[in-house]
Amino acid sequence: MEKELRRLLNKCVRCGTCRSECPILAELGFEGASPRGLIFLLQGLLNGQANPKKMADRVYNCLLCDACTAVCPGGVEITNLIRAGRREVGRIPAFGPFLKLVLNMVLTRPTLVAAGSRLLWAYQRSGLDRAVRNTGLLKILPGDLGRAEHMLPPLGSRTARGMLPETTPAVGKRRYRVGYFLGCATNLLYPQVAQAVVRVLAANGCEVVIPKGMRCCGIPHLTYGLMATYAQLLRSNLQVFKEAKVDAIISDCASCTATLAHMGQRPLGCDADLPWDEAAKMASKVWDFSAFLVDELGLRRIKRDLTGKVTYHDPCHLVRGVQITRQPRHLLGELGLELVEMSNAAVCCGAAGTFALAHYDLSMAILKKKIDGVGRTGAPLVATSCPACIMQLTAGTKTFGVPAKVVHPAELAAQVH
Amino acid sequence: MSLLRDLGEVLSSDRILTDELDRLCYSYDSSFISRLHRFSPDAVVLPRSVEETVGVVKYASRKGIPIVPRGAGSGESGGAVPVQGGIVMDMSTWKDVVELDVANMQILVRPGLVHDELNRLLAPHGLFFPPDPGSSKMATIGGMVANNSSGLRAIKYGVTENYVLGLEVVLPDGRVITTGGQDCRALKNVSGLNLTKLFVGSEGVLGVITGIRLRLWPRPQSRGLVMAAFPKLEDAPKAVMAVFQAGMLPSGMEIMDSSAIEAVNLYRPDLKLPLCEAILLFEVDGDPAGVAWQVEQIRTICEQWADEVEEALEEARMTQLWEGRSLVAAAVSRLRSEGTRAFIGEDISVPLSRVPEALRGIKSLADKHQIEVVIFGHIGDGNLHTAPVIDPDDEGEVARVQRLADDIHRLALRLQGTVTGEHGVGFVRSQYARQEHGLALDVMFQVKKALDPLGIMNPGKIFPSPVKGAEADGKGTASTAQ
Repeated sequence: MEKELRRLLNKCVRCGTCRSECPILAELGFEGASPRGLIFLLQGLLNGQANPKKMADRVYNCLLCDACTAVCPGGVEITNLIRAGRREVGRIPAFGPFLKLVLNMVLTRPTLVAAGSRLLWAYQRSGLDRAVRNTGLLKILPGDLGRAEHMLPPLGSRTARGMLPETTPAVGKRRYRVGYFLGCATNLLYPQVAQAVVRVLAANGCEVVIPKGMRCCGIPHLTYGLMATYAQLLRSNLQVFKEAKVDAIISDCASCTATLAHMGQRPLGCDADLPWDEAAKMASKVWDFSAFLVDELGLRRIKRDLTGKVTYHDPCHLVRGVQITRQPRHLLGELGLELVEMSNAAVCCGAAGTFALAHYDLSMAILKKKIDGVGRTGAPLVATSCPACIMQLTAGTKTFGVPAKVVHPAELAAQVH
Repeated sequence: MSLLRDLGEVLSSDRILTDELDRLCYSYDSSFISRLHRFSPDAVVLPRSVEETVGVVKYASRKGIPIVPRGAGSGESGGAVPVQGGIVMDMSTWKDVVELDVANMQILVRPGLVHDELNRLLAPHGLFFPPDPGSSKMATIGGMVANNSSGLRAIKYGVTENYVLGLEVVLPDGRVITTGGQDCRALKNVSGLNLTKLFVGSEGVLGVITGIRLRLWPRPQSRGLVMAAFPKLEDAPKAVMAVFQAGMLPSGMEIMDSSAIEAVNLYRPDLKLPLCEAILLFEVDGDPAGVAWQVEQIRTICEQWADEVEEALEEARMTQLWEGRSLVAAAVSRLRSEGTRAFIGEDISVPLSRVPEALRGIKSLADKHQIEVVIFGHIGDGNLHTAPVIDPDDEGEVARVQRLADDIHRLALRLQGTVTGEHGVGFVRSQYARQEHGLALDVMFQVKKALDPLGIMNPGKIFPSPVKGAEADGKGTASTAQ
């Protein structure tokens, strides 16, 4: 492992091309915040020149947005190396132990996820959230959790899984049997997106299955270097997909899509013995919602009934993870909307999973630039294919006073079905 | 800690870095030598005003601490590496445009502005800053001025110094001067000794550049590319000479050898460069009719030797090809799975008539030292970039590549060329200064001493070490190395 890491780290010639793309460096400015700096420090970690304890803060000071990797002329897998570095470092700073517990014990079990969601719902519904904010109790939360609390959207009493049947029949003749990979964030935070996805897929001739035993895609675990848990989840999901006997696996979440689409590749730093070939075969069935609709199903059933302007935000995991940019835009156009591009469409919004929970101010500064871009388009609608981005952009439009509603393309598509 | 406290009186604490990990990140640039040794600074500051810069310089001067100005750290000569410790001044976050004066075709910028950002903001005004380094996306204007950089378009447009109207410089004693006339906005000015040209390319050894007034040029209406694939490497220089003899001055004339072609194809598979011994990439610009005519002429000339000639006139394809060539320097790392590109011996420039000799010479030296070498560069002005691909963990290869670089530098001097066409001397090429400049090196050192008697400005650069010995003999001679 160390040898492989060293070989990949050696590829960096320190040309600094990555400096031009890094949203974190653009805010902080110093070399240690740049992708090149991190790669150098990871080399130092392996050589024993960089203290692992101090390194923990460094390796987590990254959005994993992949912008650097995409432009690196030398082909350095910067994001993968930083993830592997997180595993090497071991310690998660700020609220590490709490987060580890949630990732390893709760997020791996759908029933606990539902129970947690119910608790949060009760917290919001009872007015306790306002009381807690007023008393300043949030300050006792670790990291920036307290300051980021306001970003959580109002939760429903039921998760999407609780609302949707395990199998939804196709409307009319069945063309496909698809597995809907209902990811954690959509399930908990945006059940209306899940309902829209199922509705649109069914209306276009898909029998939609939401397999019961499906678990988290594992991206939070990859992000925090918890490779063993990631491997567990992958093994379990692989079995579930196999049993579901589906033609395609559809995801509405950019992060889940990218993770699943790459499940056939052993992540750097993961030494678990898994059936990677089998995973690769399954990965070839994975589709982003818009891409499946545009490239596979065709847009036969869509009416161009919507009007007005819309702008599109490219989630990092879609634009760089699986190179999908055209299809969601095409879909929006086919719905009758006028697409107005923002200049920074493919720049990270600063959400990056749980990044804001430990780096609130930095995340907000990155978000501010994104929202400025949205504002300049004058569009009243921002569409994006990722629940984490939806949450971040929604918080951004409110915080920075840009009157734009943030939606998933599926929600718009569902309006004309 | 006292350094942190003292500097804290000059600039805010979030722009002073003394943490060990942060300091480590300023121990390198792209040079291979900074991979082999650690040159950590004692502190790093990120100034954003003349006052802050003056404050740091005065403090360093009082204490006799070295100061190393730094841009993006994308240099390849160790120029921004603190080889004698001290304070690194990271200027990259000070990137304001102080004034864009479109009517007078000039702009005043702070040193941290990135080349590509500058040209993007000039584009809507129909203007541009012509020097075009391959590192456009990261190189700062301050770094370009300090190294007198150029790049792909130097053949027609010249180098950075041709566009610098004046500079604001903080001298080692804390005085702030403006060269090129305190308040001058004229495009021509021969008044006084040309201090601007003295500071351009001075690599931070004379002072800290805090303001740069650049002359801007009208952006050409049109451009076109011709890509020619040569089955024989030595035929490429013949085509270059023939284009000149036909009375044309392309804005770029680039060469890539077979390995460079392979590297670009690995980096950008969509480019589909033809596989051959050498590709020449010509860029012409100007009015649309002239561009079309020149493209046609160049095609005809190249067809005498080339197997395949492509004319690219669509913007998308031109951008693709140009970017592919621009980033080949680092893309070379892709050629070997356990290897990487070493930036060493990478910037020789030779007389045009001796380019074929240089190409042959480099290849045979590479064979002699058993190192895989990729060649590309600005063939139109004889500036050849050699890129050895080595395993940096293999001690034998590391030793051999250093001997190879030394031989390449000596080859360049033998061919009446220079060890550096555009990257600078820095730390890695100072050992050739005596051979290249003779007595003139002593005069350079006298100038340095006059401005920086304490020797705090970027010590260990340009002048061969040990410079201190030369100071001690009181004669102002810059060592006798070589």
